[in-house]
Amino acid sequence: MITRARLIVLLARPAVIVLLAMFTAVGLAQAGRGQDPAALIPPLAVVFAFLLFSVACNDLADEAIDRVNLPGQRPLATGALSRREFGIIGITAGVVALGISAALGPAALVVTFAGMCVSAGYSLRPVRLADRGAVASMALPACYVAVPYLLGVLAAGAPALSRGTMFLLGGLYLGFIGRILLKDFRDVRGDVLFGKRTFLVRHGRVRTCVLSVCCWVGGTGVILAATRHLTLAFLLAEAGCLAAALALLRALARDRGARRDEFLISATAIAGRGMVLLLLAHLSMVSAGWGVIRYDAVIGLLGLLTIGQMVSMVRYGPQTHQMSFDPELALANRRPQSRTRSSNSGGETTWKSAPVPPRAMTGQSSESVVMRTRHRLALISSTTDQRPMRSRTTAAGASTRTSVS
Amino acid sequence: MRDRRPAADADGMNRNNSRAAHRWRTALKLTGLVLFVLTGVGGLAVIGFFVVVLVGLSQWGSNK
Repeated sequence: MITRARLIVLLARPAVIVLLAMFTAVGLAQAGRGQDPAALIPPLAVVFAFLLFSVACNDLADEAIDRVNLPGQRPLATGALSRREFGIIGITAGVVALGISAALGPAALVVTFAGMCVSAGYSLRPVRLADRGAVASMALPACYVAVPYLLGVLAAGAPALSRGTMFLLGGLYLGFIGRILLKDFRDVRGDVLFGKRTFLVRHGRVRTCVLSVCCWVGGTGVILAATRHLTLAFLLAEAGCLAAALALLRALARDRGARRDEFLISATAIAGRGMVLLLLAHLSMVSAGWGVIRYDAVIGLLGLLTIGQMVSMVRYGPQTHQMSFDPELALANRRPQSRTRSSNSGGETTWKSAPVPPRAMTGQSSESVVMRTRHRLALISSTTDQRPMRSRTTAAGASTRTSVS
Repeated sequence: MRDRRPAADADGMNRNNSRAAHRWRTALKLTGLVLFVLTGVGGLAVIGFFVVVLVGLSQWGSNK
């Protein structure tokens, strides 16, 4: 039972839940109730159920692609849950989302239902927007941004169609398109193999980065224009994050390896999340009537934190997880053996033990280190220039893992 | 106590576990903590919550 519950949480992808929760909180803050955590609970419940429905549709439709792009990471692709269970989870989540949103009012019900239609159309045939290049990059933010944001606004009892509310939604939506375009760098290998015609597959690295830049600049401009009580501190913080994101996109336009791409895209995502959090903080503090000193301190620290996280990601990459040393595994790996097998990702899984030469990559003898690393795909100006993305090398008892979702 | 963390190597494979990386991450976590307290004391705990979660997500390396 606990395992099933954990699977359901993992199924909803915690990173995405947080992102959608933040858009919900922005909607609530835009409606003037940013300092009311209790008001956030009902729309968050709808958003969670809506996300489960969307993920169930997506995983059912993309089972084969996920086996290539994300081996061992999706419950359906790994066999942890069956297709039937996925269907049950999806239908139940859809009913729950509609039920709770009905309690929030007819407008919330319409928003949730429309979002579910777009979400199902994104993944499922015959519509299958996911295969349609730029259309896919426009449809997904409609689910990820508009549904939670509007539910937040409606939960606060404010009209969803007011000019300021819709203007801000437009900015958030545009900015998110700029980020979601970059998601395809991770998935390009399976997308090419299965004929999924994403914008990146169709137009290549440079044009994808250019479009992303346009969306970032346009989105930030609209957000700043739509923000109530714009302050100099907020303007400078947003401009600083935008400048840093544009610098990262410029670096991403040049292919310098899959690992480098991973760091740059993660750092760009940090900028995007930081800018949304800055907006949430600004709206909440303005509604709460905070004084200038405290307001400036929070905005300044948030800006610094965002830029600092971006620098950390670009320079050092994601944090690795050091696992405990396992003497039995170390001893087992000292037995002479050597075998290599191909995985369905196109990479290799390799076990090698004694005698093993020291590895320059780890800076240590491989007898003392297990390094499990996922190498992402290196993309391309032309999409055919593919390299093996993932390798897993096991040599002895301690291990280090890098994970990017 | 002996520091068991590996030093950064030539191709940067272990940069993410170097001492400099740890110092950066510690500074960022402390900044996040200050923000958490500052916003929590001011009655805006939602912001503090998102700060903490996003610091965690960023360490992990989410691309969303």
